[in-house]
Amino acid sequence: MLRYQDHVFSLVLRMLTHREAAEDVTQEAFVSAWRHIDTFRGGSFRSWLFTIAANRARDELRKGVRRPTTSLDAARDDPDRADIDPPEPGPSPEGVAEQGEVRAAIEVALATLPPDWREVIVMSDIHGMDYAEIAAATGVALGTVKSRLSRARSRLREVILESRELSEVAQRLSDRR
Amino acid sequence: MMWWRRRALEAPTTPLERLQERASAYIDGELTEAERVAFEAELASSEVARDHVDDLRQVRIALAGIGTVRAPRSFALLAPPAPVRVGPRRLEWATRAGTGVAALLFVVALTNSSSAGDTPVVFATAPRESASSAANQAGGQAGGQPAPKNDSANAAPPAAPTSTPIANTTPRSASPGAGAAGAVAPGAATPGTAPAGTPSAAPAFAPATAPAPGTPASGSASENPPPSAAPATATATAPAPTDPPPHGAGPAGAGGGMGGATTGSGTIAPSPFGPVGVPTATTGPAGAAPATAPPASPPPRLLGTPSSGATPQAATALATATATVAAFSEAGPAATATGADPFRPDPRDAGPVFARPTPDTGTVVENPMYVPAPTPVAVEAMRAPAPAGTDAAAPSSDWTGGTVAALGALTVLLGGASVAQFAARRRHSR
Repeated sequence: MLRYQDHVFSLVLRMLTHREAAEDVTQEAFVSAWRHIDTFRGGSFRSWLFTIAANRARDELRKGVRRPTTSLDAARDDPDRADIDPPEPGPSPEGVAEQGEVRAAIEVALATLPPDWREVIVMSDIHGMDYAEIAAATGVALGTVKSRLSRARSRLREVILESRELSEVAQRLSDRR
Repeated sequence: MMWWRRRALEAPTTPLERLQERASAYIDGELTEAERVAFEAELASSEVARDHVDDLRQVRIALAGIGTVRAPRSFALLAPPAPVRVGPRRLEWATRAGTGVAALLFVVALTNSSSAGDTPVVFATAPRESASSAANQAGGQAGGQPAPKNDSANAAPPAAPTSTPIANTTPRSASPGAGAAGAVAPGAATPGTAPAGTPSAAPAFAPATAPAPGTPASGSASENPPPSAAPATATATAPAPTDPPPHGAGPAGAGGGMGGATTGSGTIAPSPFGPVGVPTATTGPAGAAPATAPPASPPPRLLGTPSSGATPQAATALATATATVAAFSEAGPAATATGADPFRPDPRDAGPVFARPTPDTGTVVENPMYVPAPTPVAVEAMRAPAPAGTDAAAPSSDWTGGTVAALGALTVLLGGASVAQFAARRRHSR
């Protein structure tokens, strides 16, 4: 579980956009996984764990008003931002600052997406799950996954294009790869 | 939102959306071989498609760049979580079934009760007379004049010393006994031996006063109102007579349940409700020679009344009352009918028995002092109550308020248990 706790927490945090709630839900997800380990039929353990975590996060989202859900808006000035792993080790200080800005901007843009879209795009583009895994974890059809992912990307694309700086940074990142 | 509607809304509707979806699947490698070939041909011919693919790639790379978030703490479980104990499913179903049955009964009871105009529980209907009129009718005044039948209230003392409310739940079946609220003195020669005769639920006795000797005997006795009537008073003033009572061996009738006012001339104005209570000798019509009460002392025991429990006031009144019960002028047909010996031995205390309730009505007919009530007083077991003094609104339903409340509480209890079980199982299943 230690191997997956960052992934699970990251997924839940981006679904809920609230750190404390994400901690609680992550803990509940691990407890639930422990209790129902006998129901694991093999296959990808990460997908199975993500399914539990995503279900818990959706339950938390349905509760809705219990917790504020905009903590990522303050992510730019949040010192806890240092917890976010850098994508590449050893960048220059300018690069770190730049990546930090891009990361914060993308987090904010992610938070503007509908939860269904956000869940799918996080699973796909951040955690690298394929469509079948996403469909299994979210309980929706493969075509729905495809459609949600396309719309989420298009929305983020619009957000990125609206921000000139962000667009340039994204372009540089794309060229670097 | 239903899945088919959501799916319809999420399906691409415009050519641009279809292009976006294909482009998104293309960069993810999720297109089939045929779709990929077709899309690459489209890319070769369409600059818009190429731009779109490039934009989506940038987004994808940007998203991949933000990476995962480090967990703020370890979520490793140091110990296995405590098992959740959930009751057997059989208990769940039993609880649900019980909830349904209780709810059904509750609805039936509620409907039945409301249609019947339920009121607090009483066991019998009450006579139609109002409490005040009953009390008034019960009053009597001595003074040498026989109290008029059914109309002696005006002669009752205006300021009744005591007034005790009558419990609404007094069973009508206790009416004969309750009517004997008046204490009974078996004879003038046995002062202080106040006999039994006060049921616990009976109306209060009014204190009897015994003025100094020398004054003519005068007794006023107010009839105890019928059960479920308003508080009534019963007073008995029995000044010691200067003259010996006309019938020295006669029992005192202060506060007698018969409600008759013992007059100086030895007449009793009978109450319309007065069941039984005055131990009396065989009496005749007014002016007739009074019968002699059994001189022997075990105090007479009244049927339907406990053998003890007379109030101190009544005991004092009876002990000091030396008035003689003489003829009961308007004692009614029963009094005249049983001329010889209305008493019969009580097998329990060998005392005389003054009355015997009839099995169906509960009234006493064999007491020579019995005066029938103006309206039949019948016992109807398990009937809901009527307002005091009337049976107009007496419900015809056996569903009482208590039953309805109990069923409602049971429904809530079982329903809560069922919901709790369901929630526990749902938590456990996650």
